[in-house]
Amino acid sequence: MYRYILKRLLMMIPVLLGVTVIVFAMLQVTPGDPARSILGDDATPAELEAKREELGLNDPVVVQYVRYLADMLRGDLGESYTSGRPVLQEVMRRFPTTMQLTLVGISVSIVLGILLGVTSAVNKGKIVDKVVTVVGMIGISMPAFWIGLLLSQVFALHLQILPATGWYGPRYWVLPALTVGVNGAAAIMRTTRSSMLEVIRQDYIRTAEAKGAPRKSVIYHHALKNSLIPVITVAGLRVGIQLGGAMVVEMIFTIPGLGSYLVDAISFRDYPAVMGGVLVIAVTFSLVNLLVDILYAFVDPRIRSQYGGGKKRKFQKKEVSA
Amino acid sequence: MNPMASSPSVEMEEEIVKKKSLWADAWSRMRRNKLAMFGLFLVLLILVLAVFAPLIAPYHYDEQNTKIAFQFPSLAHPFGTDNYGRDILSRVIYGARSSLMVGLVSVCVSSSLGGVLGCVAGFYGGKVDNAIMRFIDVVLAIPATLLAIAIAAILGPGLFNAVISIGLSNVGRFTRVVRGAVLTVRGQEYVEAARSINANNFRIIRRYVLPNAFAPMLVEFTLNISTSILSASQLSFLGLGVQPPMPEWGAMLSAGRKFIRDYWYITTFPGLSIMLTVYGFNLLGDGLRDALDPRLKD
Repeated sequence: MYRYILKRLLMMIPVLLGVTVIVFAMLQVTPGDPARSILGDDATPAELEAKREELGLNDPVVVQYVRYLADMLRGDLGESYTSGRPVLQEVMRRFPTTMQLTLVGISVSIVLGILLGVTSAVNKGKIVDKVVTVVGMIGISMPAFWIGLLLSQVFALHLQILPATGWYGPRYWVLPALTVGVNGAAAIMRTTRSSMLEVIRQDYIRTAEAKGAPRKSVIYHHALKNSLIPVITVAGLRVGIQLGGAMVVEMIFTIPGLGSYLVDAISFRDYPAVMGGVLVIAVTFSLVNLLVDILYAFVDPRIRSQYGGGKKRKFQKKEVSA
Repeated sequence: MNPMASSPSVEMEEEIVKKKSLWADAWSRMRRNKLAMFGLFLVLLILVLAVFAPLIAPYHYDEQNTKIAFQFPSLAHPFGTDNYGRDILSRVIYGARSSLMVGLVSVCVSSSLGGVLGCVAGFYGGKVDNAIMRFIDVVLAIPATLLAIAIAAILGPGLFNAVISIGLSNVGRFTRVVRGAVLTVRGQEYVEAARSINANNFRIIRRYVLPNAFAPMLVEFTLNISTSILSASQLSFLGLGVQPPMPEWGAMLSAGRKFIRDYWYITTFPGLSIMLTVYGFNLLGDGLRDALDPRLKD
């Protein structure tokens, strides 16, 4: 197991290097001059040239990239063009907020999604199931920003029971977390439902029922536990989607997180800030994917035994079948 | 994955009893699925609205009249008017054009690029597969929304650029689906048979692999349209998509945000339109999946 985790962590390195190459290449082809956006429109050509030289923008692209990588390895992501502060510090200051929003949101998704999914699968074909399925489908069809607008319209503007902007404590988390969570809840509900329906048909469920196990225990212990693998996959994917979607949700609720930072950075052509932000999100996303794969092993003993052997052949076999 | 790979006896029996092709069979299954048919109906309805927008819309989308700004929904303006006095119903109808266009064209971008990459990776395997899939891993390490926003920011705002950025951001997902589908087909006997009669790779892919891997691709295609429409509205909401005066649902929501306290109808109707369109494509995609792969259905 530890060897597998180590291997996966090592595999993250080339992926993240690839991310830096892609983002760097993208920023290179971006029209616009960072020197001009720093100095403003009334800067003289000489000032612009001096600024460009200072930022190292006149060097060949490869030199700039290697310099960036070398700095990155020393924990230096450069200074933001707009604020002049170190990017790593800025990003890390905002990162916990975004992570909080994502985690609270995904918890809402998981709890709501699994509860509704199980309810609907157990009552398959009945009214409850039909209502939940239709509501679930509507839930994944609503754009997150509209959900956010509706929620703040109802709860903040009209009922005035919850704040619509800011990020100062649990009371402020409710609306953004719901906004982030509704889509995910619908997606997880759908997966839970179909996975549960699949499992309920299995022989061991019939066995459990036949030996007189209480209904609750059959549903939650035998059935739900065995239907969790696809649910974990979807929940992991949702984290990535929510990290990306945080940009929009943070804008609606004016939350000082990484998403709103990135939106500003992109519009001001603040190269180091964009690089840093995207890199941190990519690292987080990769770690979440790793965590999901480790969770599989905890839920499913069959997968755990594959890791335990540590034999190379088994890994290859798993990769081909995946 | 492959609907034709049912057991030989069942297949023969079907040949004799029904003599239906895979598609006719799938269609007859889908017709019995009420939700899928409702999805198809919604999609066709939006399509008709988009194509015949100038005939259906009661007003031109940019007809401004500040005297009647912020009007509550009435007979003359069923969805009310916005801050410039423009008829919201007409703008919603014209907005179907932008949304459908971005949705359909960007999926074409991602499916053609992802289709070629996934096909090559799945069919040739080995080093080629490894190289392509490691590249896709890198792309997928960046959340699609973030990628789309970044590409749109580089290309600049506009309908065409939104199409490109959403299309590119979904290539990774598509590549994986197509590769998976091709992998299941590659080992089948009929591919081996084709190779044994000396068919070249291109012919094998075109005649034997693609048709048999088509069902999961079609499902992904349909479901991808709905995600693309959502991403497009999100880009417009951030000001990176379709530019005014051309109406777009996401942009209408974004513009109406300032007035939600007093004029709920400015944002509600565009929001509902996005929801219904995406809902339609989702139902259709789900229905297609059930119809094309009956084993998944209970």
